Amino acid sequence: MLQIFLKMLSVTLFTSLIQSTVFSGGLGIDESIKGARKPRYLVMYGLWVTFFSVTLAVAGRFITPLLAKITPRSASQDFIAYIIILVCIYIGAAALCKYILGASKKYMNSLGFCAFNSLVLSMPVLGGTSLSKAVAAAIGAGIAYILSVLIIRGGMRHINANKYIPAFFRGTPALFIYISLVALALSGISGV
Amino acid sequence: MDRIRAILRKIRLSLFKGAFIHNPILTQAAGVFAIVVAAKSLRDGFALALTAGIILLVNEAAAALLLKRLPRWLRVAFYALIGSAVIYLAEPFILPLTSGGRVLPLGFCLLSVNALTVIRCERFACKNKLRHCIVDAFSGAVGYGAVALVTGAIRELIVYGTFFRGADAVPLIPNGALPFIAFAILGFLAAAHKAVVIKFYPKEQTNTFSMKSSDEKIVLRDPGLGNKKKHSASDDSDDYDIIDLRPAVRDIQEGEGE
Amino acid sequence: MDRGVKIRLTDKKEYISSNADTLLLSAGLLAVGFFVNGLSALYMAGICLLIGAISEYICFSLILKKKTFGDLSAFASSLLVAMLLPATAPLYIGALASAFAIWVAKLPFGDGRNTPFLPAAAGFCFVAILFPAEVFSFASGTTLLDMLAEGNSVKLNLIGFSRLMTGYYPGAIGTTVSGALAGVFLYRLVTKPKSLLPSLGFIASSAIFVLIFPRLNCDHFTGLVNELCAGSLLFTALMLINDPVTSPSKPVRAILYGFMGGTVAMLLRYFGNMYDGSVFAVLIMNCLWPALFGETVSGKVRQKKTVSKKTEGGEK
Repeated sequence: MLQIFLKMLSVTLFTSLIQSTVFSGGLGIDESIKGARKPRYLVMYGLWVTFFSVTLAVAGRFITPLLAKITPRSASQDFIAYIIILVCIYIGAAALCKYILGASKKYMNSLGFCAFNSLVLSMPVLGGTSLSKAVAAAIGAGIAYILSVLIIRGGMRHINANKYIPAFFRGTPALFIYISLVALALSGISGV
Repeated sequence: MDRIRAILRKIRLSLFKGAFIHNPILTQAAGVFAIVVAAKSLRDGFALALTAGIILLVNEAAAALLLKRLPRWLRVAFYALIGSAVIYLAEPFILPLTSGGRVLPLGFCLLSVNALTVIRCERFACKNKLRHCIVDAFSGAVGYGAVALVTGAIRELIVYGTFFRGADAVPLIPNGALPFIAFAILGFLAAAHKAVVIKFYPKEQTNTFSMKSSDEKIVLRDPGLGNKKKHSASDDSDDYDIIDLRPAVRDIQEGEGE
Repeated sequence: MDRGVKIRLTDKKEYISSNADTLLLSAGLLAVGFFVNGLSALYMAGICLLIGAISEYICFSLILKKKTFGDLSAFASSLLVAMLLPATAPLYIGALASAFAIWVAKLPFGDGRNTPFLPAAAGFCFVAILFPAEVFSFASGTTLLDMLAEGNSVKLNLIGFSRLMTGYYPGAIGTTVSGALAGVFLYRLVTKPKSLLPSLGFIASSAIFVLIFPRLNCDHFTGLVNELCAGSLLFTALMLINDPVTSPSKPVRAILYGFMGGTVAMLLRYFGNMYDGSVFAVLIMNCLWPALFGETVSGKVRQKKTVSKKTEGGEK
C-alpha cells in the first residue's frame, strides 16, 4: 500500500513539476492565462480541474481497452468517447452544483471552463499505464494548473505594472515572451 | 446595387478587423495550446488552420441557430461534442495534410475544447444572427489560421531547415520544436502585429487583453455555492470577456442599414 | 478593494556599478580562462561581445531609440554568457546565446533595469536546451561533474586541491578555476558585501544539501568541496544569483532567494536530466519568486490597498 502511495506521489510530482504539462507541454495554457487574469478563485478552479482530470483519467483507463477492440481505430474516435464521458461527468457535477448546492450563474459558467480544456481532455492519453499512475498524473495536472496560474499571474503583475515595456510589447506580446522564458526555465528540469 | 456594395464593403471591413486587427490569438491569446502543441511545421499549421476554421464555423452556426436557447453552462458541453464530431468526420481529409500522415496528432484531437470556439460562440454567435456569425467565424478562422501557418513555418525552419516538408525531413535541431520556441515566436508575432496596428490603425487600438485583475487576492472562499447573488465586482464581468466583438457586428448592421 | 502595484527601477548608479563589477570580474575570469583554454576562450568571448553589442544597438538604439550602451549591461550579459560556455563550443553557439539574451530576455521588457529574467542565464539556457551536445562537451578529459556522477571524488591533498583551484578539470571558460572564483568572492566581500547575501544563501543551501544527502564515498568535507567546485555551481552563486535586478533587495529575502536557488540547483544536479542545471536554477527562481511571494522586480514592488490619485498620476 505504501509502495503504491509512494509511486503515486512520484508520478504526481513528475507530472506537476518535472513534466510540467502546462509550460513544457502547452496543454491548458489558455485556461491558465484566463485563470491568471482573474485568480481570485484559483483554489476552487484548481480543485475542479483536478476533479475532472481524475474522473476522466479513471474512466479513460477503463474505456481505452474497449476502444482498442474497434476496427478501424482512429484517434478522433477515442476522443469522441472521452468527450462523451467528460460531458456526462460535467452534467452530473453541474446538476449537483445547480440543483442541490444552489450554485450561482457565475459559478456554473466557470465550471464549464474547468471541465472542457486541453489539460483535462489529454488525461486519458497522458495518464499512464496503471490506474494509480493515471490518478496520480491527473492530480499532478491539477497541481500543475495551479502552479502555472500562479507563475503567469506573477508575470502579468510585472507586465501590468511595468510602464517601461515598449508600447508594441505591452500586453499579450510581453506575456507570451514571459511564458516562453518560464517554459525555457522549466525545460531544464525535464532536461529535454 | 449600392446597398449590396455597401454591405460587401462592410463585410470586407469586418473580416479585416476580425482577422487582423482583433486577431484572436495575437490580441486575445485564445487557442494558444493548439498552435503550441500542433503547429510544428507548415503542413501541420495548414491542417490546424483548416480544422480550427471548420470547427469554429460549425459551432458558431449551431450556436446562432440552436444552442443559444440553452443555458450557457450546457452550451459549453455542446461545443465540445460538436467539435469532436467535426474532427471525427474531417479526419480522413486532414490526416494526409499532417506531417506524419498516419495518426492524427494529439493537438488536433484536443481542438474540440479550443478556447477560441467558446469565446467566439459565447461573445458573438449566441447574440447575433447566422449571417453575422458566418462572417465572424470566417474572420476568426482566417486570423487564427494565418498565425498557425506562420508559426508552423518558422518552427519547421528552425527544426528541419525546410519549408513544407515537415516531419519527412531529418531534424537538425530536434529541441527546436519545444513549446518555449513557439511562445517566443507568438510573442514576436504579437509585437509586430501590435506595432502595425499602432502605426496604421491607431484608432482601432484597444486594450483587448486586460490584466488588471491579476492583482486581486486569491481567496479560499467558494464564490457561488449557496450564495446566488453575492459576488465581487470582478465576478460580474463575463468569463469570456477578453474582447468586445460588438463593433464588428455594428459595422455589418450599419452596412445593411445603408 | 483596489490594489495597485508599482514597479521602481533598480537605481541607475547601482545598476551601472553592478554591471561594471560583473564586467571586471568576468574579464578577470576570462584572463584565467585564456591561460587554461588558450585563444579559443578569447574568440568565444569576442563573438559573444560583438553579437551582444550589435543586438543591443539594433534593439535599443534603432528600435526603441534609447541610449543604453553606457549602462554596460549588454557587455556584462554577453561576457557572462561566454564564461558559461566551453571554449571548444562552436562560435555560433555563443552568438545565438548573446542574441537571445538581448532580443528575448531584455528587449520585450524595455529596460535592463527591470527584466524579470536574468538575460545571461536565459541566453545560456536557450543554447543548452537547443544544442546540449555542443554546450556540454568539453575538452578531452573527464569533467568533475562526470566524476561525481560516477561516485568518484578528488582527494583533498595538495595535488587534488591545486587541481580544483587551477582549472585542471575541463569545463566552461569561467567556471572551472575555483581559485579565481574565490578571488571573485573576496572582491565582492570587500567592495559590496551586501551583494553576497543571495550567494551565501545559495552556497549554504547547496552545502546543507550535500551534507544531508551525500552521494560520494568520502568524508563530508571532501564531498562538500568537490560538489561545490563541480560544474557552474560556484559561478552561478557568485555571478548570477546575486544580480541586483532579479534578486530581492531586502537582506532576509535575498538570503532566502539564494537559499531556494541553491536547493533547486542541487535538486537539478541530483535528479534532473540536464547535465548541469545550476544556471537553470536561476531562471526557475526568477519565475518562482514573484509567483510565490508576490514580488516582481528586485523586491521593489509597492502594494497599496488603495491607489491614490497621486500614484495614478505618477504612473501616467
